[in-house]
Amino acid sequence: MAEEIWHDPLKAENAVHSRPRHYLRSQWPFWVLLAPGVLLLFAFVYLPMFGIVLAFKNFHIDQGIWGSPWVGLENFKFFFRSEYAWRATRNTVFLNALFISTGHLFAIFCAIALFEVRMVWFRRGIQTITYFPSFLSWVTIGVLALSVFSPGQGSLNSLLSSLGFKPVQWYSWPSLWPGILTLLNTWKGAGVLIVIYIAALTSVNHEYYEAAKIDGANFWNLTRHVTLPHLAPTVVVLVLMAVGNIFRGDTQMMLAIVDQQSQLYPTTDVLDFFVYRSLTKSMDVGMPAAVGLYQSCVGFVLVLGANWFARGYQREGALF
Amino acid sequence: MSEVLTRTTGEKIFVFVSSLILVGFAALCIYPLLLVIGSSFTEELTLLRNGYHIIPSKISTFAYTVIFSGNSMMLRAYLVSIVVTSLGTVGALLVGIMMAYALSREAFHLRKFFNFYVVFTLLFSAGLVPWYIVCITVWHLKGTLAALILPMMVNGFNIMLLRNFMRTIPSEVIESAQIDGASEFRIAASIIVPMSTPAIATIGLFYAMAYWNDWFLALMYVDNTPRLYPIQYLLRTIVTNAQYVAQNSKTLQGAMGGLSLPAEGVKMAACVLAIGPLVLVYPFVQRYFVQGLRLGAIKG
Repeated sequence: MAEEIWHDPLKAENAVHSRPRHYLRSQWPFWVLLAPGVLLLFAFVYLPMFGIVLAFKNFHIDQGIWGSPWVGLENFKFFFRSEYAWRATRNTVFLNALFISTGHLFAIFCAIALFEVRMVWFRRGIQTITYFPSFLSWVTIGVLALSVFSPGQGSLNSLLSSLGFKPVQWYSWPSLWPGILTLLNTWKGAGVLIVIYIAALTSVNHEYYEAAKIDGANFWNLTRHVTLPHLAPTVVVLVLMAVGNIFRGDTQMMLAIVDQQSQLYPTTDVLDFFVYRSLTKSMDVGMPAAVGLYQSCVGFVLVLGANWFARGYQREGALF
Repeated sequence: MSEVLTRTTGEKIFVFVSSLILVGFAALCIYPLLLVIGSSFTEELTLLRNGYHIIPSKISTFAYTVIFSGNSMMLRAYLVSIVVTSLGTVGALLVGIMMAYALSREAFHLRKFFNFYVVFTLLFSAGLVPWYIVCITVWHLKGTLAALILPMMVNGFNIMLLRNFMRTIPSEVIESAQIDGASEFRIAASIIVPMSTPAIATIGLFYAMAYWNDWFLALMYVDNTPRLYPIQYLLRTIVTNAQYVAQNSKTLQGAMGGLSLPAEGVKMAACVLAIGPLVLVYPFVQRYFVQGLRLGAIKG
């Protein structure tokens, strides 16, 4: 039992702000609880923000961040005048748009189809199996892709040969790769989306279906006028969140799958991948820093915008 | 919906065709794994001539022998991955639970500010270059084990998930504990944590998977320190440079004689070893991931 008198927090005279010692005493546990996380976030997210100045400097490792000379907007000019600026931006947005649209459309189709199946074991089984690829890292998926698409040993070319077709040099044609990457991305991500959409479908009230059936609706009517509208909020929120990130490429994905195959860069070089290569291969720090800043700023505006839309559509779905 | 109607012919066709597509997709999810497993047990020359197949026409475990011989870098990489994943997940959960609890309490006056502090990290980041330069010059992370653990330890998204879950715990529970004289730490540990186990389990698994699969931190910070390579990074190294295996495997050089290195088989075998633990663990943990997703999806 507390040895002190318990002060009723609802009474005005006990308001914490009017009692500084009490304020400290009631609040300090929260500061302690937050401290490790706040410090870690500061160390790895906020402190690097000071490093944004690197975008405006010509960095020399021996002079450090502060000693290196200022060059104003030179790094930005250098990037935007090069052919890479448009190519990387276009690839990033285009590939992401492909990923988002294909991934969600396929998952919605699968979710509706699965929802129609009567046998529960089939539904569970398919969900369990299709969820597995999301567990794998892009490195692993890169090797799996190699096993299928490798020009010499890949199973796809073996299949084509045995059917009488000529084997294709899959890793030589940049134009194929938006498609291949979309395939891989959907393969990895569909399972997760299917689970979410099925969860959304199961939460739809049966009475809607029954009422529509009484009015003489068939399957297609039901799908169009009951199922899809009920799925819409979930879809909108998920897609908006994804669109907010449309300016962020996936370095890990590109590094693991495309890596050094520079012949594929025209269609697969995304901004993040470009930044990584510039930093590690060309020893130039200022320019990739500028590109990163460009990416972060545009991405920031996009995420805010997407979130604002999502919040208007469904309150709790948005991030804040 | 299926319980409500009796099927028309059109519907039956739709269900049949879509079921085929679903089965096809599921098969596609398993097929590459089988391909890689089978190929890893195939003799090298057969692989080079006939390509990768699920069923080996000539069985050989040579690729595995190569990998495990010499200084057993594979076992070392497993150790690194296990250590990094365990320490990282435990650390992330500790820090995350403390943060989520503090952020969920209305009694905390600076709650709005720190919520923003955490959420902002999800909206804007300085980018790869400043992050890398800071970690190298300020935190001296190059070549350290900490480099594989610390940068990933706090993830705003996971913390927000935890916080939202904790917010659903009725305040009467907390108030009655306060009347009994419990401190915030006591409340967090004895009441909130036990009541939040579904969310904590899910977040824990998210972190564990992220740590186990990560190779980007290894790429940036321990590339020059092979003894700190986690599994995924070792796999990548093996695949991009099959010669690496030859140089690091002393028994191999003696045993090879004039034969060539089983590069193809080694790639496949390394991949199998990297995926192996996930396949073993998957049946047990899949349920938690799905449950976590469902919680998130329905609550929004």
